[in-house]
Amino acid sequence: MTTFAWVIDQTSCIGCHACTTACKSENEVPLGVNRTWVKYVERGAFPETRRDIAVLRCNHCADAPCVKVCPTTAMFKRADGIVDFDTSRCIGCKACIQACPYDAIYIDPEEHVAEKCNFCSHRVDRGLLPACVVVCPTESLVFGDIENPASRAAQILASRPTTVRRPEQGTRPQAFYVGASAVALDPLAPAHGDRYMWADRRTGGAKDYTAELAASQAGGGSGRTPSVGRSLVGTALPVVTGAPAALGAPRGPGISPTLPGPDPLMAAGTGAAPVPVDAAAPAPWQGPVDPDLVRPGTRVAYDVFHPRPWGWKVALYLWTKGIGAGAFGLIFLAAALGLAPVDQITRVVAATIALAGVGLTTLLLVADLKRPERFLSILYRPQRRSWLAIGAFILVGYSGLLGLWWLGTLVGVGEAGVGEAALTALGWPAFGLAVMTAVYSMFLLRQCEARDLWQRPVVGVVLVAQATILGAASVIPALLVLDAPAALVDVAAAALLAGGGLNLAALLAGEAFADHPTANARAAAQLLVRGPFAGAFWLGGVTLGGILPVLAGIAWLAAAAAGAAAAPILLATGLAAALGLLWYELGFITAGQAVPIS
Amino acid sequence: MTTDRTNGRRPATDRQATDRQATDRQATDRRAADHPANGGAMQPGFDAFPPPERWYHWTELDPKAWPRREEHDYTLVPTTCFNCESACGLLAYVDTASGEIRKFEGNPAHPGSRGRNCAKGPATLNQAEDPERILYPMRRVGARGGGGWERCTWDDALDDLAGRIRAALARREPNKVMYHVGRPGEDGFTERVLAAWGVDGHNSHTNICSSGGRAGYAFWMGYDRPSPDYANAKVIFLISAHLESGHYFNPHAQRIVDGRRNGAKLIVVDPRLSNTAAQADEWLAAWPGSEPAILLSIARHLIVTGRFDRTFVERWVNWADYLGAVRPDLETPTFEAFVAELERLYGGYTFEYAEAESGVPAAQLERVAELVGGAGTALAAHNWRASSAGVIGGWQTARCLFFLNVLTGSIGTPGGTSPNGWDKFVPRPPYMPPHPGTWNELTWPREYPLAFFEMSFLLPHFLLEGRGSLDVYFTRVYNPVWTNPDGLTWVEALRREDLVGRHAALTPVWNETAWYADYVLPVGLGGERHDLHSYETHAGTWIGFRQPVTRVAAERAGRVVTDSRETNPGEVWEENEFWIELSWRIDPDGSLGIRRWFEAPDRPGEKLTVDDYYGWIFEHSVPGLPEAAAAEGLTPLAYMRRYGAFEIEQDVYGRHDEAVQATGPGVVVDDGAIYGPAPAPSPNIVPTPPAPRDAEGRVRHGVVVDGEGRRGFPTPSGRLEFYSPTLAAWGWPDLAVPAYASSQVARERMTGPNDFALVPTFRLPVLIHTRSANAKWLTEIAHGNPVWINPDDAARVGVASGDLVRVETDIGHYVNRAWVTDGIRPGVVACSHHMGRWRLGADAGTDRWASARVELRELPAAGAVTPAGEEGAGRRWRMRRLEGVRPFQSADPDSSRIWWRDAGVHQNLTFPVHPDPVSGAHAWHQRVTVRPAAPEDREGDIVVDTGRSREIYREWLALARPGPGPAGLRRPEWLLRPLRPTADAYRIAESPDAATGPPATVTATAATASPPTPLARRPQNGHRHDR
Repeated sequence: MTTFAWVIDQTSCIGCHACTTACKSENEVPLGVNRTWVKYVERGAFPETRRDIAVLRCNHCADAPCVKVCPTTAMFKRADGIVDFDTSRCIGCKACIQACPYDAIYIDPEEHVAEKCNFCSHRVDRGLLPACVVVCPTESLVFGDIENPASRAAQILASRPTTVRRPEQGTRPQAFYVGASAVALDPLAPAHGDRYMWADRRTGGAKDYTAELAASQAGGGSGRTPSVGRSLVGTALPVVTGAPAALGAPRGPGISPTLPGPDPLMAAGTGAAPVPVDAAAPAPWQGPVDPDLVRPGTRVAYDVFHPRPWGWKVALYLWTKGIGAGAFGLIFLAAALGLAPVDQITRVVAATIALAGVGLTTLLLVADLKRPERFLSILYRPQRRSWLAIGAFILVGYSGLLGLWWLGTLVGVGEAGVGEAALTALGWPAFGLAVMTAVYSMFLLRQCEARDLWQRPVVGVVLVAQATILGAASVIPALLVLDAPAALVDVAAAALLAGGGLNLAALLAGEAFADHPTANARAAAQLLVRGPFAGAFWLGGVTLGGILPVLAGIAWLAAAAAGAAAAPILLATGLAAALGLLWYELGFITAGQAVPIS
Repeated sequence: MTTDRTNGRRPATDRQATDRQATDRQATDRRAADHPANGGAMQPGFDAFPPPERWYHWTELDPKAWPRREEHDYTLVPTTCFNCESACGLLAYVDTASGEIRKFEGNPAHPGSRGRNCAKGPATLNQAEDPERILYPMRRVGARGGGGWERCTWDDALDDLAGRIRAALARREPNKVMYHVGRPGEDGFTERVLAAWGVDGHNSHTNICSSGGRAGYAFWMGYDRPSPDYANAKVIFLISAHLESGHYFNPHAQRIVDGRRNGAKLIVVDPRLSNTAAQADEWLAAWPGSEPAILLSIARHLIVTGRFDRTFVERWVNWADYLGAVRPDLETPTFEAFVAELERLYGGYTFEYAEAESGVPAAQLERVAELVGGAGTALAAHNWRASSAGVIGGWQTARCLFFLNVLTGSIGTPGGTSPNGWDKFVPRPPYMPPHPGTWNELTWPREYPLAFFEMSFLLPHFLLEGRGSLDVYFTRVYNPVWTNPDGLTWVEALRREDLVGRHAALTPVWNETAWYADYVLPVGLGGERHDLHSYETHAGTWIGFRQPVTRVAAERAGRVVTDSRETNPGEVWEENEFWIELSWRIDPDGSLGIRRWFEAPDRPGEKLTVDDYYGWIFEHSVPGLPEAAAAEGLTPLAYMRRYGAFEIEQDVYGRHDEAVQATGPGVVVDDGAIYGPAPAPSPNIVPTPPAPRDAEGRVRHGVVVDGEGRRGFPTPSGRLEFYSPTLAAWGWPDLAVPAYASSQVARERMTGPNDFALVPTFRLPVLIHTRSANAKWLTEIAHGNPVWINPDDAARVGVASGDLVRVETDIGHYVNRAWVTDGIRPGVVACSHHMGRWRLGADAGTDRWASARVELRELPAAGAVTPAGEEGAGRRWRMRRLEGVRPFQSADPDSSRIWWRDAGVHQNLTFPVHPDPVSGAHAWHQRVTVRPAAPEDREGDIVVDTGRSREIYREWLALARPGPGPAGLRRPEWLLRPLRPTADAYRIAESPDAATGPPATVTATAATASPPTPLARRPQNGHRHDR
């Protein structure tokens, strides 16, 4: 049994970046992305300042989330413990990046596929050490089989205390650090400024809001943390007054090397009595320059950029998926449960809306792939544990049944008594798949181990609620245009009310006031609920997607007699709620990726 | 695999005198046990490198095709990195199908770098593949500096330059030819060329770099650098940043870490938190320039507590010279009297005094002093640059640091500090041209008789004030306009065709200086040229062989290559062949006596080839190499082509204590020195001060120590010179012992509320001056140089991190961003010198990976300035950034992926020259005023008044104490000097070529000092070249 692992000795690493360039050279890694990089973190007040260094890269987790989430087996774990990848299988879905809690994976800008450190497996298989290990001037990078007691890695593990990055993620990382500083390994400990000590900092990634996070953690708004135990010694020099000595002239405590001669100080034979040093006696230390001066907190002095892999297309996909599931689900349920009469045209329109939603969902999914032409490989070479692959099958299955149901409705089988039963029989599995279409993203997001905000079960509740609201909101215009029976409009209004209520409860209880289990989730929730994405949360999700549909639904149902006069209100509510939910999804997706993980 | 070629090694321990080698350190350049390159195994069954027996045919899997197993065939050719001075080994993987270089790894056979590299090693590939590099010779069109260029042939350039040089030699104006080198990266080849031409035309960058530190060491021991044995040290004391930069960074960092793994304590002095300081057990954040106060307080502690090595000091320090000169009143000059003098001299240097000077708490200083005192003879100490390159009198930092080595007796010991000359091997070339019989006062002016290297950075001032002119000026991988202080004065001088007749820039890439050249001649990078070198990376000696790797690969494939241009990219040439060809064209028929030095040793009349040159050296001048080669059935040259390096000796210690026969034929003892017949020439011509001779012409073999003959040190006294009679006799009696001087950034000169001491010299781990800007992987990591400022100061000045600040020097200002950090002492600001590359052309001038496009304007003269247009008066300049770094289209798709915009700010333009009056080193630190940027300021703005820079030049010139010294000498003959001229040329009266400098006023400061020790009339034939 072989388990290859990293042992990274930060007690001897000098932060020289040789591993970075050796890796770029060996693996032909383009500019802008890195398989291994060096991070510097500065802490402490002068002169107790420290600069901690950490070499960061793939951890070759024993329980590798990137492998689990990969829909096409492009990421795979070898028997020797190496988490390797096959770029020819990669579709560029970026799910592995979302799954990796260590920022180890990137999309190669040349090939548009996911890559990362693979222990230089092309070398390992030929009995050569990885390139970074070979180049390291101080042998701080150790590669070896930790099951083999003769390996240096196993010996270090047996003899010295080691730590791993983010153990709370449960991935069982196989990169063991010796003497690493907690602030260098903990991505949330230091803040990132506008730039690094010798490099620009790119924006748009996970490190844009760390100063706000630091401020929120410190309980203040200044972005700076008060200095703790700051030593005054060594911070200030005594004030020097008087004319300076001539440039380059000897300077000393009253004694200069002397020669017999004209210098009177120098009279020969005067013995060796030390001359007093009044002139240069040390003056008292100055006090602190400003006692109220606060120090910048621990901050990152050097790091590399990691983008937010998912953007508006994914948020929109969650939204269109809600329409695709909800429009059919609502109408089918109303008909199947006999809540209201549903005529053929209404069914056809609702199914059309649902088909459009699902179709758009699929298009968005494909469009977000870096290698969209390989999309079908999800279907013919699926990785069965990946919810991206499972979701694809759900979408395909749902689209198929929905299409049959639509066709059946269109050709009029629903008008005949027997046909109605057949459609209903067909509709129930379609409905089941609609629910799964709405909900499966919860499992996909749960596989995104890097994003703790997305790990909450409440996400599933929100997805169902949103599908309900979006289903109602998308069919209400049609119902009004088609002059649908009031009972059916009532059902839609009730759906708005129920979905809104559920959404409101889930958002408030599940996100705004929940006790998030990890620091990463707390930080992301902070950004979403009280930070830069609070608008999406409170206005989009809570107000437009929760309070508004609840109030409108209650109002509608309470004043059913109002009839058509209130219809524009219902219409507007649906539209506003839908837009609010899209706004919320944008915030939810972005905030989840706006917390540094490396 | 094995790289442990013991047949090449010669342990030197048998030569050690053992009577005082009391140390518990095991002497070894410790091979980290688990690195396969060093004979161990990190992981059973794994290697770090392909086994050498398979280097000619090696197959590797393609990482891009992986996991598909696509194989490529390579031939592995060793060469040497050409980035920093460490000269680490590289192994080029040359694809046998395409002939292209796939990558550079470390060379496991290299004793200095031991198979490992810093970030710059692998990035050599970027430089080779840089789409911005110069591939063909270029000739200026239009005005110099106007930016017009056309492609020309090498023949055009060679004929023009050779004709001009020949004419200058014919006119008996040899000093109109000057070769100005950045880092040579080789030992002796080019100096031999200049000697063959008979010109004193060597000029180096060293006086803006290491010469201050060198002078401090040289006045002690003759050798000008330390060679610390970090791996075996108990205490490592660095006034440098050797874990990230500094001379021999990677080899030294390896051994510092080896030492620390073995328990050594690391002490680092630096006002700025370098990565090295960040790793230290004790970081002493001293005020810049106050280091001697700290060091002398530690010395005082050792002295007054009696914790110094009395035996060593008594045996090896020239204390008797001191007492003789300073205490002639003593009837019996005893060692005890000397100790009393030490107490008198340094008694005032209490920890409290040092704290007041440096800001380092006395308690910490005491802790450090205790560490030093407890190091025994295993104190490895190094001063590289830092304040020795920063302040006037900075050479005393090195001198005071070495004082600690002297006091602890940790010189030449395992874990101690050796002279660099012991750990460096420069093999003697086939035949040596004579010393040039001329003295060049443009490089060695009378004002600076002790200048440790050429006064290179004053050259434009000398030219502009009419001291002389140049017919042919070579800059060779050197960029003085950018690298030197006061670059716009360089621009003013280089634009003048009457002062610089032809300027040929030998460079692999465009740079700011090449823009002002007449020819830009593309020379090879690390994998494209031959060079031979050796550096003091540890207690042992080795040579490294740089090779044009595609040429070697082609030859392995059976191709006959007679010129490196046949296999290099474009028409890139190697310098060796260039200089040989140029020399032949200077003297085509041999009538000038130049050509014969460039003929094959075994084929008179035929042109010397690189194979001839190095083949002869490897066969005749490298002990053990012929035998090692024969054991593998190879010629010595073939052996070096195969392995790229050879270890000559290991465990070199205690050379000074080697026994010398005080009796024998022709051997006499006179005044404690042993003289005898001149020894046979050594195959090692490492720079060493010439041995003194007695009146009969006998050569000093050694000195008598405790009644026994010992080799000693190459100083006038043969001992370590605590008291330097040379300094005393040449005008500096007050600085003749380790002392502390008042610097231009002394705290009492900080009179304004916004005044700061600027530390502008620090390197970053991934860059090396202007050489590495074309390495995209390095520039991606580091591309900005914000001004470091302490939070207290930032609050006082009113700036936050990222804000623009205006940094005002004595001659102008620059505008840069602030980096507010606790990693710097309050009152001090720092800015790395690596960044701020600029170009005047839209897409030419400097590599676009790292340069900003700027406009450079001459402004109307300000009120205080001498009117513009007046000869040599200076001008007012403004540089403004037009755009930062941008992506661009090229053959390399990465150039379109450039994501950074910063190029840094070029601060050196705003620095006036600060020549140290003793060492001649430029004192880089500046007293500056830091303010928030004004509304009109833009990032990257640079404003300079070169009229002011002229004034400051003259102010500092006035601090010098000009020669000639005793006996009408231009310079003490025993001091090292690159390209040493004949003894006659050292004497002003006897030198007909004494140039045209202004009359020097000789001050009589040395009148009372004792005369210098009698010295050689005919110095040893040893050339100086390493920096």
